[in-house]
Amino acid sequence: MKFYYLLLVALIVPFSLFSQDEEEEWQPQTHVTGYINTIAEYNTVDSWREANKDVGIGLSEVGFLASYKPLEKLELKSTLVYSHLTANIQAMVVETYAKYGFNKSLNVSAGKFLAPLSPINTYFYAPLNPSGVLPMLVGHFYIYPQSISGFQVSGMAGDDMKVEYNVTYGNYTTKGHMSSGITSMIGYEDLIDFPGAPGKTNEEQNYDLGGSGRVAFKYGDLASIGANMFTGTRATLAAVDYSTGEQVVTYPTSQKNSFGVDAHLNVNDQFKLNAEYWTGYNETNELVDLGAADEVKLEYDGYYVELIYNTGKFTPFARYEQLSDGKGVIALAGLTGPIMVANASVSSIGGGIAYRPIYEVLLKFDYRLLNTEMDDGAKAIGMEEDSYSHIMLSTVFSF
Amino acid sequence: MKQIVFIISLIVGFAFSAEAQNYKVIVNQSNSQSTITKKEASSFFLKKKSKWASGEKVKAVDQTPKSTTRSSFSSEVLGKSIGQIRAFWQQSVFSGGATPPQEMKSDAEVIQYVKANKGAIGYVSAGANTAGVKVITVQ
Repeated sequence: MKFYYLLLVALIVPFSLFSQDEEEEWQPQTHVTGYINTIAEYNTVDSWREANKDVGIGLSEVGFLASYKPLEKLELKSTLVYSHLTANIQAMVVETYAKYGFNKSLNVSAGKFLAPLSPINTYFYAPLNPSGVLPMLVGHFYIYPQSISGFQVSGMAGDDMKVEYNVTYGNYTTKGHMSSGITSMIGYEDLIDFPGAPGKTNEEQNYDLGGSGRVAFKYGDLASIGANMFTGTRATLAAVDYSTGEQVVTYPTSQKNSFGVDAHLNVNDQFKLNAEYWTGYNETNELVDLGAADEVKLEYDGYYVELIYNTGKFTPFARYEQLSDGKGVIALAGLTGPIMVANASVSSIGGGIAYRPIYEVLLKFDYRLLNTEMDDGAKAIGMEEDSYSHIMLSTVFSF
Repeated sequence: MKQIVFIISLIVGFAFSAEAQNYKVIVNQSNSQSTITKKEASSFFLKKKSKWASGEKVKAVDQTPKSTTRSSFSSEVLGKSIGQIRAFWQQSVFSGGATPPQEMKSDAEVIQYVKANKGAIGYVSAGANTAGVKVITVQ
């Protein structure tokens, strides 16, 4: 008898959770917004890939977002971002999901999500970024992937003092760097581009399982701090063997774990300070199976600090970033020989100004001075250090 | 001298009348509040607070961006231009946050919505007929 009561409760409870208050009528709501971002950019890199591209002018991205709330607690949302560098339709779909809000503390979503790991991730959308350039922590897509498909649980508690959280699990595309801009400089500021780097070829884009989590503490609009993590069943790790005179690339089974913290200060919506730090590692045992080495563990880290002053229409900003990611494993004497790691670190200091005279028009000007450092592994395969400037003018039209 | 004082009085009077509030904030008849601070109104319309002190859910409703009533309300109560408010909502929506309040095309539509929803709050032009809803003061 108890079993049947429990079964009845188990059947009824889900329906009660999904029940709608029928006393007040809900009018379905639709919201559409988007932007078109056209840029002109110039860089002073001595040599960049196979063609010296120092000037570029053209359409950079088009973003489109549609949101529909057929019920008060149910929202459907989709965000598409087209870039002239977009490889396929799947890559255009940055987010698309359905979210059911049981209450403020618990929302359950299913679909594809912009890896919701920290506020600067939303800089991926041009109108939200005071700069025309993506922070390298985001633009390299090395620390964490751009999107995760699967399920998400999120929510918040509190009023003036809030705690927010989200947890996402599902599959993700194993991509490392992803170019943007016209000269493809953004996303590859470290200039290291050896053959076989994940993201360079399509055939090795696997769909592997991974999860992300975030918890943040907020004090009104004034300040917030957050802690984030990503763990994936496949790392952006490539093993490149140069010993035979040809580049033989393998992608060992590996694990990626990234951890980050972020802090933000917002004084009267005028003065803003944003800072983030990320660290993590790729590790693999597969090279051991090939007789190459013990466990290989490549560490990476990066950080970002940004000052913004918003006068209403004008938003000057200054930014400093540093990123060091272990690109891959180079076995110069073959996979049974010595292992060397090719690594580059890059720092960037710069600033600019955004001008938004009306909602529909946003103009941005950026300048940054970048400095790359190559380790012995990178130099061994012909990578050179460089110090160069990158200038960009963006026009973002919103609707 | 008297004429100069008279002219100055006219000018000052005109200046004050030009700044007279040209909107009225309205709530549902069942709402017990008769005043609201600008900060509270701002938190309702920007969806930073979701409930009235009574516990009733807030249902804010806007007018279209071209509405002059909205322009006055935005700058005087929310402290921002309509363009800044739209940029705020664009940021919110792209970041996975709240979507903006529903937009109504006229005073009549706002009044009809506020009449029909207990926790509703909206604004209409100063001369609108507000029979059936409650006008509250913004402090």
